[in-house]
Amino acid sequence: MVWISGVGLTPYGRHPGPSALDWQVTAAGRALQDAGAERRDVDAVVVGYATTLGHLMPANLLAQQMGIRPRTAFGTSVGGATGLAMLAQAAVLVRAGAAKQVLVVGGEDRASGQSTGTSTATLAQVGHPAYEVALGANIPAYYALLASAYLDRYRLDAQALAPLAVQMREHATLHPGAHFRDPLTVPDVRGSRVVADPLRLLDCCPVSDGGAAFVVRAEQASPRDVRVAGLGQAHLHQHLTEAVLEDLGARRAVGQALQEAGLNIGDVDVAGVYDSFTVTLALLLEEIGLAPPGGAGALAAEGHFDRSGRLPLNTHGGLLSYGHCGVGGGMAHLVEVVTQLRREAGARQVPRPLHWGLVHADGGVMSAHVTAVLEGVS
Amino acid sequence: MTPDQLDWTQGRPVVLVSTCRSCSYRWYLPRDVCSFCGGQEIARDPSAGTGVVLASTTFHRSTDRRRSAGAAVGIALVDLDEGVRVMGRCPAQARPGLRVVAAFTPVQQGGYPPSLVLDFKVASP
Repeated sequence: MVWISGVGLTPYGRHPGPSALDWQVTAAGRALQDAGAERRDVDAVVVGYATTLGHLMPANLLAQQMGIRPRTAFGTSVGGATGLAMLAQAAVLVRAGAAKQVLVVGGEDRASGQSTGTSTATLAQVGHPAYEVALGANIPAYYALLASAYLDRYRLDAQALAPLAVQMREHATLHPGAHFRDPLTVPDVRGSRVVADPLRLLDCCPVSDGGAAFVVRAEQASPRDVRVAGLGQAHLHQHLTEAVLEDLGARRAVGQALQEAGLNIGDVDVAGVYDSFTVTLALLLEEIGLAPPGGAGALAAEGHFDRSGRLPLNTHGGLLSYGHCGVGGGMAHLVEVVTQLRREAGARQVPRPLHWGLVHADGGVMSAHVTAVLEGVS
Repeated sequence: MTPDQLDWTQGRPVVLVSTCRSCSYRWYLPRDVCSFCGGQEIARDPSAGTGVVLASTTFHRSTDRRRSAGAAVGIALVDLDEGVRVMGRCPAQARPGLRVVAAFTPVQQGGYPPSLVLDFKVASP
C-alpha cells in the first residue's frame, strides 16, 4: 500500500527573497516535520522543475541542500501535472519495494525571480514552436481558444465561467497563506482587464512564489496517514492543435484511478481539481463527471462546490486564488484534500464526514492528466 | 526536404496536410509516422486553405513597457475542409462558425529574415 504521511505547503504570493531552492527546502522541511520523519530515513528524492532555476539535476541539488543521501533521485517535468506525476512515480517506487520513504517536492520563486514577460514567454514553449508559438500565441491565448470553443458549443456567454473564480476566491478568504483573499463578485471578474478574449484577468491564476512537498511511505505509521487508493494518467496530445476537445484525457485518468480504488465518481466527498483558468476548471469538472456538460459555472453559482456544498472543491482557493508557483501549484490541491480528510482544515473544514478525496492535475494545454484518489482513515 | 514539402513555416505560402497512405488518417503537425496505424508512408499535400473557425481569441502583445500596449493579435483554431485542425492568425472579428480562407502574411521579427505567418481571412460568401 502507499501512504501520504506528511504534507508541507508554504504561503503562495509575491514574497521576494527566497530562491526556488529555498522554497523547496522550506516546503520539504514542513512535510518531513508533518510526517515525523527523519532526513536520514528518506531513501528517494523526487523534485519538479523550476523555470527560474533551470537546473539539470533538481533532486540532487535539493538532497545536498537538505543533507539527504538517497538511493534514488530524479527530476520530473510534466508541466502542471508534475506534482501528481511525482506522486505516481513515488507510488511505483514504494510498491516495487525500491523505496520506503519518498520525499516529493516542488517550489519556485516564479513571481519574484523573473519578469512576467519572461514567465509568459517561457511557459508559451508548451506550444509548437513553428505552428503555434510563431503565430504569437501564448498560454492565455491557448486557454482563451478553449474558452471560445466551450462557450460557443454550449451557447453560453463569457459570464458563465465567472462564478468559478468567485467560488475559488471565497475559499481563499479563509486561508491565511493564499495569494489573493479579497472577496470577488461576478461583475468584478467581468470588469477586470481582458487578457485574451474571452478570458479576463480574474479568469486567470496569478504567478506566485511558493513551495509544496509530500512524504510518501510504504507503511502506515500514524492514524493521520492518508492512503493512496487509486492513481490514473492519460497523455493524449501535447499541442492544442492536436487536442480532441471531447476527450482531453481527464475522463480516462480519473476512470483509472476510481477503478483502482473500487469507486464511482459519486463516491467522492471532497476534491482538488486543477484551475489554471476558469475554463480549465470547467472543462475538467465536466469531463470528469463532477458537473454536467456546459454546467460547471451554473453549479458554482448555486454554491455546489462551496465548502458547505454538495462537492467541496479546492477549499484552499485553488490556483486561481491560493496561487500558482509552478510545480507546487497542483500540489497545493493535494495538500488541501489531505488536510480536509484529516479534519485539520480549521475554519475551512468541510462540516461533514469525509472518507474519499479526488485530486486531478493537468499540464501543458490540457495535455497531461494525472489523478489520485485518497482515503482518509482517521 | 524537397521544395514541395516546405510549408508556410519555411516561407512557402501553403498549408500542407499529411495523409497516411496505408489507412488514410489525416493530420497537420508534421510527423513521419501515422499515429493511428503506425504506417510510415506519408503523403503531404497542399490544402485548399478553406475551413470553419472552431475557436477564436484576440489579445494585445506585450511591449517592453506595458502589458496590453502592443498590437492586437487574433488567433483561431480552424477546421479545414480536408478534416484537419490548424491554428492561425485571424481577423479580430472572427467567431466560431465563420468560414475562412488561408492567407500568408510576411512578418519581420527582430534581426531574423522575414518569415510568413498563417493568417486566415473571412471567406467571401
